[in-house]
Amino acid sequence: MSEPLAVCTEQLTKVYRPWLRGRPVVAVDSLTLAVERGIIFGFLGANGAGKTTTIKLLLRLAFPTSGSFWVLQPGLNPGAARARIGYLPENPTFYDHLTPEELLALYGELFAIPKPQLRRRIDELLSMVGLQRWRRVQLRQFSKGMLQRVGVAQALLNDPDLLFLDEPTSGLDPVGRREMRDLLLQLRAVGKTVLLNSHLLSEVEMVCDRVAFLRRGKLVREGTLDQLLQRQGTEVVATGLPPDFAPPVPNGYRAAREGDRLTVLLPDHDLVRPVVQSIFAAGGNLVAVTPKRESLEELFMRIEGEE
Amino acid sequence: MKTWAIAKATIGEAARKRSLLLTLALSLVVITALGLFAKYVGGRAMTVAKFAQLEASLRTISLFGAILTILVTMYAIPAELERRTVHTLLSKPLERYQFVLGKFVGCLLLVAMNIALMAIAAFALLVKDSPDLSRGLAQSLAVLMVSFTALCALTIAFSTFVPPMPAGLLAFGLYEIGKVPGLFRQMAEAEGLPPVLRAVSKGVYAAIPYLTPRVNRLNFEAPVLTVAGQGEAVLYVLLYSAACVVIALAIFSRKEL
Repeated sequence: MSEPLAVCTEQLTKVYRPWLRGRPVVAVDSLTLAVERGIIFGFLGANGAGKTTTIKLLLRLAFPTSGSFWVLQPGLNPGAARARIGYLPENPTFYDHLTPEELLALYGELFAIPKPQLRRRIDELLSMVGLQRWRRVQLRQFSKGMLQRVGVAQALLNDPDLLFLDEPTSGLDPVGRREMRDLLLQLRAVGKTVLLNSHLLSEVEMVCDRVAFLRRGKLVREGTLDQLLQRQGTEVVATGLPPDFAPPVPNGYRAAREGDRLTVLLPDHDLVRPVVQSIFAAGGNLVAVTPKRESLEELFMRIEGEE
Repeated sequence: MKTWAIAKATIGEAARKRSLLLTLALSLVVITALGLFAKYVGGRAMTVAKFAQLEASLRTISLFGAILTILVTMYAIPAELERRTVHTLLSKPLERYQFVLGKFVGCLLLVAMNIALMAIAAFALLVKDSPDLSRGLAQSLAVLMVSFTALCALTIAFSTFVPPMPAGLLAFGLYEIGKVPGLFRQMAEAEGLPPVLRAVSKGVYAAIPYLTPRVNRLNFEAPVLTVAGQGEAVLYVLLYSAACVVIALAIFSRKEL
């Protein structure tokens, strides 16, 4: 049976100890995490929460102080694991004397991809990230958004099973962000696992299956969005109602009138039917019935405010 | 292959450094002038003055070569760390030792290319007139390259744990101290020096054989003398260089990135 997890950490801890003076900094604190295969996993937290350090530990760019972890498969050799991983660092920088084509060729050599296959893959990726026209232009002439696209291309070069994306939409314009979102969904559709670090919570909310919140290196919440985001009731919107209209619910609802438009937020979904019936009975028009839940941003603020 | 990929990238990147190009241009001007002077002093015959000029050219190549070696090497690893290009590289199936070796090989090849350019500027005309000189000169340049190998390895080793400038200075310091052990012996024995200075000189003199590449034992300044008999000294410098690279690998393998 194939391993159902893509990443597993057990009490993973990273403490940075300054050389001469200063107090040790706990960047990651006893992090125990299991990321299932084939999902988009959002890694959230304020600056300095330990998200990037965790990715560095998983990539073995930094070494844990204690705890253990594995990536893709228990006991897999780190080199073999990296051959199946794609990584896009935050604000990626590359050899800027190279062109995108040359850079991808260099990385292709590191993956030992055969030359004809590599050429095809480079064509494919440069088309995908919209850099075909700039394939022979030195990277030093690229804008931040274009470098980000190069970063995406290099992260996908080896057709990885697991992707670590650190702020992938940073520097991208709205079209680029939309393309990135579509790409993430496509990757999930073909069974790839994506570990996504992002401050753009609305985007995380749109694509992530599960999210984990880190605060000062500690895992403070983890789960699906449905599990984590509090339900806030159901919103009913109607127009054409008399000014003295009141929904037939005892209490606990909030109503707001804006001109002809009445918005009622009901705490319980069971109350929707009587309210809708009363709207029709009063001669009003029903505009929308929407289940409401807290946004990821609201959850984020709530968690940050818990301290 | 992976090491070679890193070496190629290192050459491509370092070859565009302005400081390097300026130093190379300056060295080529000086060396070409010396070469032309050597060619036209005393006509076509090999004279004492001409030998002196040849030696001067080799010494100049030795000086500029050392500066170029430092300039090429001291930024090779720290620049990757500072710009974080190393993160993308090492997230690929590239081992840390392959990265450091690639950097070392790339720097060394670039130094060799620079030395070759300087040698062409210095000796091309002369060798055309006196082809019998070519063998001796080639041997001298090879020995010189051996000494730059040590300097390159030392700089790489230091650059894995100190910033570029101190790394370059430390490496150059050790390299140069190793050339003048006699100076420290004289200082250790000099009656007029304060006891502390004499003690330090004595300590440095005692440490030189263990810490420095001892390039003073290499003779590359006498182009028509045979370099045969330098095998032991060459072997020592190469082993020293290998030890420096191993130290660099060991330090870098545990480096937090």
